[in-house]
Amino acid sequence: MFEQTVEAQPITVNWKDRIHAPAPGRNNLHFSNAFPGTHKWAQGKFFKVVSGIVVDYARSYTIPGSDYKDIDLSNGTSGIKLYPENEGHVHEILVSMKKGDYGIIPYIPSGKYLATLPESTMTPDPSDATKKYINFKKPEDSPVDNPTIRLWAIKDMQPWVLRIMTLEGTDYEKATLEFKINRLKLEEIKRPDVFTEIQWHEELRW
Amino acid sequence: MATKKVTASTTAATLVTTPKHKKTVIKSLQIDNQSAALRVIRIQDIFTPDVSNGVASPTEQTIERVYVSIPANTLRVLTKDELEGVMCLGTVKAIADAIAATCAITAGYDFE
Repeated sequence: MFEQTVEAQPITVNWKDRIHAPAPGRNNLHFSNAFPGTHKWAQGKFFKVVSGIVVDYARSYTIPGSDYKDIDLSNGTSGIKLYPENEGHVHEILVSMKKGDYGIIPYIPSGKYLATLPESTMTPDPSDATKKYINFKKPEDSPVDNPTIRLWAIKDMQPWVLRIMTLEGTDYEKATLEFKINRLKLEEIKRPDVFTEIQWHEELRW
Repeated sequence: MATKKVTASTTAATLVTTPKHKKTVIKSLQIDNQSAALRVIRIQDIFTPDVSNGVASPTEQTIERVYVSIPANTLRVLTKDELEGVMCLGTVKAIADAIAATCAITAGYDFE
């Protein structure tokens, strides 16, 4: 008798398997009813992706230790302009970080943190040693070879702001953010059986 | 791994210009001091930080990353293990305590 035990190989899902694309890819989207009326073209509607293209982009910032810099992703005057310019388009933005002694905290809009802990005092605060790392995403949380942070953006949406924060004990750090902007052109459809729900950011605060 | 050689000078000489979205990792440093005196060689990392919350008007910074003293007529090689953790963000330059055309500084580096 012969028996050889082989360890089960984990199935690795890469970012390319998770982004949206025209059929046969993951191609149905629904913008929740919570989207405000300023985005009427999207509010509560279903769409299919008819065309898509991934555009790579990178930004680097050299910042002193124990300091931070806010990066506006919108097309506003001070933004780095990753948003669509037309209705009927959505950008699925994958955010990754090169290795280093820093991390990011997402805000939307500027000054309003995306996620906190339920107790009212437990909010990100860069001036507080015990709270500065609340919702702090490290480079290993979203590495360049397999980004896990995904942001959605439509025309004229409130700006996503990424606060890049360097660790204490570092004299200076170069923080490099790499973006994969999956530009998607949409066509409205009736409700499909399977779709990805895109929530308005306020729905993520509870 | 790329390499660049300069000679000892009291004016900082450029070894590497780090690309925008990379850091320079110094993997080896060979200093061949065939001059008649001890030489002190410093590797500098020169860059201007970006505007941040704490610094509204950043100025150019010169950070010393490596300091080596080499006796006369001596070849000294610092290997990857000895240079572990030496990483530069901006323009990498070598500067010496005196001008010596017979003191050669060769840096081996990669970008990350």
